[in-house]
Amino acid sequence: MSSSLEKNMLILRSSDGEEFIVPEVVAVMSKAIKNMVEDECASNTIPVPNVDANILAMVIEFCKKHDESEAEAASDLKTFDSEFVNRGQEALYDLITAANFRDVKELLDALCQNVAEMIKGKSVHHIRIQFLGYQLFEILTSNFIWNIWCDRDFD
Amino acid sequence: MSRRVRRKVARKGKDKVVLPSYPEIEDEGLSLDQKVVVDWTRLPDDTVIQLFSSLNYRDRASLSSTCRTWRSLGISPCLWQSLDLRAHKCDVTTAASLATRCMNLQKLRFRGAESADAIINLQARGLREISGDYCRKITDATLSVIVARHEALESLQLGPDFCERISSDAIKAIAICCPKLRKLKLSDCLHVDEIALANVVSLQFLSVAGTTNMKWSLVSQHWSKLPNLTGLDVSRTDVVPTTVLRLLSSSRSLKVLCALNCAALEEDANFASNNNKGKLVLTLSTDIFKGLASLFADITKKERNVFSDWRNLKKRRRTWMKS
Repeated sequence: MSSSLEKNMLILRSSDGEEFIVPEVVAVMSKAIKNMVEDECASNTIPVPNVDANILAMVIEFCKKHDESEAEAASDLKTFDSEFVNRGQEALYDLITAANFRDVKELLDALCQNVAEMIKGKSVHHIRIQFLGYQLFEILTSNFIWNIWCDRDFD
Repeated sequence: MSRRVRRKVARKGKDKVVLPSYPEIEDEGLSLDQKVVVDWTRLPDDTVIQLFSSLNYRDRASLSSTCRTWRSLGISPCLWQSLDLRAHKCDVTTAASLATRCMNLQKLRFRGAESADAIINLQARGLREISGDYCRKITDATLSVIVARHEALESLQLGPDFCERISSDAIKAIAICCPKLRKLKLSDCLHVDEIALANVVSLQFLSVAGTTNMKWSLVSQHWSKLPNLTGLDVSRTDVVPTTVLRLLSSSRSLKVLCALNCAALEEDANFASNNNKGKLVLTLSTDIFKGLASLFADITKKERNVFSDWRNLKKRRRTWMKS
């Protein structure tokens, strides 16, 4: 371990080479990192491939908050969670893949809950537009053409 | 005209085809320029399954209808462990179409005899718990077929309606087919007798609330042979005090006996004051909260909270409370 580094600190290196110094207790909220630490196959720097600096910073922020506020009221944590996961689709998607890949259960639960809220009560069309990139006009035009067919047959 | 269009048109008949509108699209306030920048179908499978499991069945259906990837994930066996058909009419075709998903089904709730007839078409061989409402018309034959197809059954509950067409023959079939059955609830069966029930030796909890065909003088003699019987519910029957006392003394495993609304017991003034040899007897004259709290002495502090405590605990062993 490098001398500048305090005990119980780990360095996480994101896919684009940026390094983050985090306390071990925070880092091991990721099961994948925890396993690496326990098996002692981690040197002082742990590479976190597939996760860029931006997303890694968010994940660390989330883990730090959860680590600090274990004693705090659960409702506070809940509001933090719901605000934390309230992001654009791209960030949400990247966070989910990161949380899944590094196995951070709390984060994954919060994110899944958020996506579930986005789906709840929506029609199939809406889900398609929102998540699968179907364009609204595609659906409308297909209906339009369909209607023309029907009118031609029955008028 | 494509086949699909033709079919839709044919269904509408000669009427002018109504323009299909999608009011929900406007209602949900979608903007036309909404861009989807990521491919959500490439999410890891386990995450999608976690997503499915936090949705109710309606939203699950919507989500699996959106694309092929999610459809195939939506039929994963881990999402189909319990099925509640009570709100739906389940006929043979419906059940057959669900069969591909129900291979690992463990719990099933249904309503009505028609659904009961269709259960075997779910092909859920590993089913452990079946609970049926309004089974007035369910017959011996149906019940026998159901138990014969589900040998792993641990819990079978029929009620609260009268099960008037079930007789002792079906109980004998249960005894033969389901060696693991621990819990049997038959409320208001009019043609089931004590000899048939004595054949189901695996029983731990038995409820015969509201039955009329028991010969109570013989009950203790037959039921003392049930080696695991822990809880017994004889509410709303004409059980007599001597039977209860004999049952308590002859059955070694019996811990709880529930006898609410039994006229003969309540008229007998001596009965309530009797010593029950360390076994719990619940009648209208005893303090039910106190009695139940004694069962959960380790977790319950207030007697009145016994039900909520129990719900929090989610204990699997339960006695069937009939009020």
